[in-house]
Amino acid sequence: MRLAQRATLACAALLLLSGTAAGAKRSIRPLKGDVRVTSSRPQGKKDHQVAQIERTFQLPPDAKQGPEDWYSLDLDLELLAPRTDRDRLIYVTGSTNGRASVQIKVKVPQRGSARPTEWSAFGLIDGLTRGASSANRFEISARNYLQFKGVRPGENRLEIGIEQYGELAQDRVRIFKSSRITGGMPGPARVSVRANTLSITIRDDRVTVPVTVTNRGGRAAQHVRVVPEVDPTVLEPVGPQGTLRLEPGETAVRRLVMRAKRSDGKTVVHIRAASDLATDVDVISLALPASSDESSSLSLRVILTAAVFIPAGLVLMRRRRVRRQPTR
Amino acid sequence: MRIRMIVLAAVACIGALFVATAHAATTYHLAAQRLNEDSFDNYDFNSASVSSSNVDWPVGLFFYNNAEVEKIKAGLSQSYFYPGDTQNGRLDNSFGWFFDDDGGRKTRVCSVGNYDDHYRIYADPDHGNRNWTAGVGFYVIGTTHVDGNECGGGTAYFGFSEPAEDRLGSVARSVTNWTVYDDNYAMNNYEAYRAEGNHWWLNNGNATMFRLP
Repeated sequence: MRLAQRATLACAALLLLSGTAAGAKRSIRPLKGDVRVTSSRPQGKKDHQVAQIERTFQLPPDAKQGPEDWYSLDLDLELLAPRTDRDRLIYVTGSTNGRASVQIKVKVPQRGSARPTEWSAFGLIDGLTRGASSANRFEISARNYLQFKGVRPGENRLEIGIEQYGELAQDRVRIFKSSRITGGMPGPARVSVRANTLSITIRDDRVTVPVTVTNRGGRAAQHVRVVPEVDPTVLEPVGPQGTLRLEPGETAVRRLVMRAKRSDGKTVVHIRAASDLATDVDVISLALPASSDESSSLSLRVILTAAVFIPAGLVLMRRRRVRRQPTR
Repeated sequence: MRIRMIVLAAVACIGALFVATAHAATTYHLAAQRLNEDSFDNYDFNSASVSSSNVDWPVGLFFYNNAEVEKIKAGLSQSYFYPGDTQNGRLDNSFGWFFDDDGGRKTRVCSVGNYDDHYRIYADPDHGNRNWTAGVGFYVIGTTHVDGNECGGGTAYFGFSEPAEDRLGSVARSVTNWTVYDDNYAMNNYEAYRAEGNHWWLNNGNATMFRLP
């Protein structure tokens, strides 16, 4: 009996944890069924009009956007956008609490044009997504994170709207009930880059800077490029710069090689790691040798050594001072 | 072929005689502005090169929440209809710096004995002419200025960004559901009233914000 009770309690605790832990996805569907938004018939000389629907949905009392637990909006819809005598521009937007999350831009060519109707959406989950159709009626799915102020505890508002600019026509959007708010999403990729200044080497005119790149975000960082941005009169990057894919928490080390064109004094190098959806920069100051002889390498070593030992010495002195404090 | 080249050169020379351009200018306030994970420079440039002596005009326009380049141009097209010369904005939309060029829109084709207002707007061309951060949503930055006597009728002059920004704000208020917040975003690009050749600086350092629904 006692064993069974313990097992039940353990199971309940596990269920509770799995339900509340960051990373457990939770979907909310604010639409009970498919919903239609129709832009009104153009009247007068208006060149811009808006139509939208609103629905409310509930979020937990501690709901907020990030840094661990992120909310997103998935929009699944069908658009009926007839062709008219001129090219047209339509935007379908999904917002929460007035903050735009998904923006779908649709370019409808004029009647008789051989060009298809094109749409595109951009967000930090999928980057740029796009499609094209030669039909007047077609389906679109797009998603993105909500804005920080698009998430609040308790009652929230979902707005889905259609805007037209230029030539107006009666467009219809059918929003499928599969459209949803999802919580527990991993956050965007966050790349960080640091130069390993203690391991910088200068041999002849070659400067080699090892750098560590880490993805501290919740999603994979794709096509990460690590590039030194230099004063082109002083340094020149050498060799091809490949790209990396970093999973969340993954670290990689790259060696950046540059050729010194001039050999005098200091120069600043910005080391940039940029992926499809994240970037970071580390700034280092390089003391270039006065010439390519041993003494110049020595000067760099002296500077780097000083950079290491002076702070280390200060820390040691501080520790000793702490130790010498009389006890009371 | 040679005749065609000569004709083209002649046309270019005549064009250069009649259409004045702003002199290159220098600022002491060029600086990258941070916006959540993104960044952008607070001036645009005469070419795709970052230099305080290569700037054109200070960033004084900030469209946000649901902005996009073509949407803004369409929204303002009743007053700003005509294309202008291209300049370059520099941004970092969370995945590295890039330049975006834009000719923007003007209120007149080319002013003679008068002036027109001219704005240019910049965003990420590789991602559908928009940027997005969780802090402000879809955003686009821009500059604006006056083109005076550009095609004759007096001494050509360019600049006066601040009054041009005010007038653009007034136009944007008439666009359905757009909300305008005058001088509401510190861009750290104050420029006192002064001239560098025909380039007239005047900017209070605070950009006007345009909230698109």
